[in-house]
Amino acid sequence: MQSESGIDPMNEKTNNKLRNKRHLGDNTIIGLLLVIFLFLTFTTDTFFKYENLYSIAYGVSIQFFAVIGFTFLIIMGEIDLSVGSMYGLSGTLVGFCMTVWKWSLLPSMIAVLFVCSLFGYLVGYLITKFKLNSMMVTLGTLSLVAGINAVVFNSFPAVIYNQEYRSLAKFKIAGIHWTIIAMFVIVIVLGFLFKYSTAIKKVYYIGNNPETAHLYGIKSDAIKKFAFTLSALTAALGGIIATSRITHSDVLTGNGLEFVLITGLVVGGASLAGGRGGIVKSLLGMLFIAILSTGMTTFRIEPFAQQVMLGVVLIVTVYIDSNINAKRLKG
Amino acid sequence: MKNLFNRFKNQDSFFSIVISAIFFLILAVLSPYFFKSSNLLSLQAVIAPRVIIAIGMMVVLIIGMFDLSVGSIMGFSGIVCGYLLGHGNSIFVSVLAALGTGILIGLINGLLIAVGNIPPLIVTIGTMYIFRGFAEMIMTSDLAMSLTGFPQEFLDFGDSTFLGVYNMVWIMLVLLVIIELVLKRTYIGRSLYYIGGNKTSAISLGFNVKWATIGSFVLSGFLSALAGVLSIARFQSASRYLGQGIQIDILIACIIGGGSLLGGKGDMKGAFFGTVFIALLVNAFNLFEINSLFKSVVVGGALVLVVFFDGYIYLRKMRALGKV
Repeated sequence: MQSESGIDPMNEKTNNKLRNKRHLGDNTIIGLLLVIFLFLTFTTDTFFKYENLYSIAYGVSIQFFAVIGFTFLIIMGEIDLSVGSMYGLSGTLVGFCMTVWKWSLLPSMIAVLFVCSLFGYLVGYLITKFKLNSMMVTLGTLSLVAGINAVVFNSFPAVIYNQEYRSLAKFKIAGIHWTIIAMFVIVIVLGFLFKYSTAIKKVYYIGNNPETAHLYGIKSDAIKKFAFTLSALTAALGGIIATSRITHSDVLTGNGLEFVLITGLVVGGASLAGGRGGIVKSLLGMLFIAILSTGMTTFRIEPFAQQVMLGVVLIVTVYIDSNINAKRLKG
Repeated sequence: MKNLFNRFKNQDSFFSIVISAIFFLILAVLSPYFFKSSNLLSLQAVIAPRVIIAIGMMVVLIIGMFDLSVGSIMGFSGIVCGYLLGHGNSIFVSVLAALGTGILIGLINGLLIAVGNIPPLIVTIGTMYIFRGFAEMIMTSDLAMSLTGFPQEFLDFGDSTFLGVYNMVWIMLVLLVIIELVLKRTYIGRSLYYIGGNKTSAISLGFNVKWATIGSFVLSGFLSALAGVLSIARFQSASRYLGQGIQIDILIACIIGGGSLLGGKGDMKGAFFGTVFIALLVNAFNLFEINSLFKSVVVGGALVLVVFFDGYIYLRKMRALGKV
């Protein structure tokens, strides 16, 4: 992969140098997390307790599944606005299979995950094959999937799902919910791969400069199709577990999740223009939002004011981040 | 004749005009209730505010951006207007304050995007959260008790018709014509298309992209606030659901009407017919007593189809030119 000018884009050093120059705002999220964590620890008695931290981790661990595929897409400069709808639909579909068709949990889950992934693949196929704008297409599928969810939801009586489905989210390994363990395993494995695997690093090249990536023979379209499939699959998995946790279907499950994910990832240091972000940063971003909302609840800030705060945090972080980067670029 | 047809066929809003005409015919032929005056009046009350918002959204789309905060601006301004009216302020002051609120939020959006260099997606999601949050805070507090009982003249304005059509529809038509003329016939309007078509070259040609961005978002904020005021005049109260989730519908309507998130495309015919299509669709579900849940399936499907054909035709053109 040596180019004529002798610069090797796959070379760790050159690439790090380039990235360091552009992304010094990258570690903002660690500072932010530290500040809010210390602040809450010292100002409240309830925050730094095992139960509290555990419940934050449990909440994040379920949404985290939906983040996995989304992270890949954001790094490549693509976006999937239908994650929230998919998150809602998958839970309802599993409920439908188990209640109406009397399937057991495993086949229902496999069938639903397969259908959702297939849908994601089709979306990815359309976007890459016809060079469409992913935001426009997934805006359509956002509405489409939400509609299907509403139709399926209304086609069978609203019930509390059976013990088998409910136990999915409650299953514990060594006293810890399996989703938390899964989250840490996934973060460690993927974080490692993001750092050392050339296969996954291609994702950053595509995000940084699609044309160059193409010239160097990276199969962008195949990787993008895979990422759209993965995004639908992981969103569906998260949705199934979320529905299992609340024990029944709700048309509002996953409503607006795409905005929460975008906020979390961007606060975590990703850029909508692509080329930045990573699985660890996504997790930190989601944790930050979860801790922020827990903190505001402890201070008895009403939920709607929390919404205002979320908006302010989103704009301010991006503003600071982009300005730090702009200054570094000039200097 | 053939030339004229080709011109009609090649404009961006072609698809939306055809599809709303088809829906209009289906409804007119198959449903005995469609031409009932109550149905036509309720259709107007649905279409007019949405088209007014769509006008602003289309202008923002033309410069290659989009505004997700329109629903929150509509709700918040409507509530501001309702609050002031309920507290005995004059109609003039209340409406002016509501419209001012819309302009101010639009200005915040525009400044953050043009001067702060933050992507429009982030900014407008942020202001969407913020002002929906403020609206909910007002509506869940004690203040919410006083958001009905508006002055009679205000209600009369929302309820009266001229030539069988609500006043707000006339406002909508006037706005459509004015903005279309500005877009197609003035220097400012044409420059918006240049900016949307190719931002880099527009900057190097000396177009003032910053002012165009700020202006478009201010217009969008103003029109959303206007839609909010007209809605509460028509429905006689400010509800917390005012404008909730409307941004996705409007954005989809504009894209079906020939706008593009990539910028440089779209006109007022598209803004109008795209919105009318969605309104007729919802109306069809009501008239034929089909479960209205299918609405978002059809709307989303239509958007995917439009985007697909658009991309397909563009790709074929590029292939023919040998650019791909």
